[in-house]
Amino acid sequence: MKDSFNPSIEPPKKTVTLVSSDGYDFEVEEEVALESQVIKDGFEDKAVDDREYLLFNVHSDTLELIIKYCEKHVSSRKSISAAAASSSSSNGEEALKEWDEHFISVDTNTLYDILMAADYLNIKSLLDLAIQKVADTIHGRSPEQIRKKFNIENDSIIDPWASE
Amino acid sequence: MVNYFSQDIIFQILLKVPAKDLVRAKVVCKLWHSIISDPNFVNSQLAHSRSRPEIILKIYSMERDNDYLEMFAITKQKHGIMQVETICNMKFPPLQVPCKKSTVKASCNGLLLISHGKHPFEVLYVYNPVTRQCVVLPSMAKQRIIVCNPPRCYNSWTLFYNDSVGKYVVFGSFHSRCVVLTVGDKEWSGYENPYPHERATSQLIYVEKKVHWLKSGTENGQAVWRNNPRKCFHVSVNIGVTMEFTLIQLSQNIHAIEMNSIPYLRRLDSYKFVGTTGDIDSSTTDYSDVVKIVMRYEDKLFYYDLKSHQYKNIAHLNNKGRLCIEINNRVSNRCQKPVHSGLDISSTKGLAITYNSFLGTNSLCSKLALGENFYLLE
Repeated sequence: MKDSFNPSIEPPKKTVTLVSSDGYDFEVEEEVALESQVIKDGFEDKAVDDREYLLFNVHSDTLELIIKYCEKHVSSRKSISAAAASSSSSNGEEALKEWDEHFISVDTNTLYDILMAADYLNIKSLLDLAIQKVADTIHGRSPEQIRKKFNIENDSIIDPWASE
Repeated sequence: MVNYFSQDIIFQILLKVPAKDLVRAKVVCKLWHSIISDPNFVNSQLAHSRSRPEIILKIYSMERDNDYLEMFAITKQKHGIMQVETICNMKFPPLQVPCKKSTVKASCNGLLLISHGKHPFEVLYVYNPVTRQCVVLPSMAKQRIIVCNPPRCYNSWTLFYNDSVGKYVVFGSFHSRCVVLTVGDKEWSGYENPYPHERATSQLIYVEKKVHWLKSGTENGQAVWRNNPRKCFHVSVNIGVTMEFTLIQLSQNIHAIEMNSIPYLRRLDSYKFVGTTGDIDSSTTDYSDVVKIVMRYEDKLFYYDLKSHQYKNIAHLNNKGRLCIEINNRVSNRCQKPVHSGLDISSTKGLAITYNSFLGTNSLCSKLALGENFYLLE
């Protein structure tokens, strides 16, 4: 499925090819790829037929999720602005938030992969979402539980405020 | 995680962790400890927590001699109803001191200014209820300049964060004196107040390098005769190298209209001075250069424009659908007796409500950590 990933059925849409670290090609619409600030930055300088990006730090499993996230955000941004233009009331933003919440509810390793990829590709909204999710896992846990959760070795000095 | 994420990412993650959890996170490992202790992190964390509502503080008494301090974290905010969870519940005062009489005088960014004992022998300290750390301020009694006349006068305090030096400042106002101390300094500075007050003032509010308060009576603090109408004044002090005092008399309308059913003038302290603001109604007009005083009188919240001498109603506070707080999934409408008042200050942007003693249903609730934003608890 991975190398036949082709979201656009209408031919005139411009596409960009993203190559994952394990060698899979992902063809995505230009505006979806432009969600990444890193891709956006050098985009205009590149030739139209050379729009291929080698993402050495992003595995295909993660890239698939990232593309899903960007597509959702591009499409819902359109529908929100369309709803605003026709001045019809919409709860698009609420719905998107819920979608985000659902999207980021993944196991720890996947979450870390998403975070690293979002950082590497510089997708701010996704990075914020992932960081918030990781920060939430710290909430209410003891130092020992945090160490276990994040696989950190205890090299700490004793702190008087840690007693409870 | 240590070799997984860069230090920058860990920094970003820790920035989103609530302060209470940071205390624990600090001892996880040396790297985390060094990040959290870094002044750069502390400042970023403050800026971040200022941008969102976080903690509500409530002080109440259930038994005769014991006061309690309870803190809630706001978990959700929807349609004006806040949902909160208790994060801390402890005896007040938080420190073991022989004197029982302690009050919260002011708060800023989640820190409390607490006073023990009677003026001018009180002990003041700044307390962080989240980390339970405290800084005792130097005694004022040793410094002659501070002692005011009469000795048992009304005093009001404020605690604010001075952005330009990055330090907290304590400001006190007595009858005809003002005192200032930058937290961390050894000595207080005293200043003569040309507009003394012979009665209690409103709370002191720090907005844009100035401390503001309201007083009633006469301009120079002389006694008011029975037939002489009491006037209401706004006093502001420019905090800087020299202290400049400014006095503005408020128009009588402020009393007349709010008092339409009450034939006499109430004491000033029934007006709770909520704050001054630049943009309470910025959707319609640009008020950025206009200073307004937001005040609460009984169940009405209104502001007074210092330039045009007009007042405008903002909201009825007795509207449960609009401003209320949900504790453990049910709307709390009756709370224990309030112990400390005068803790309410409001935000410098948007509508923030302060609450103190509310038409018989008593409770005290002040929101901390978001600048000086407070919410209504009824």
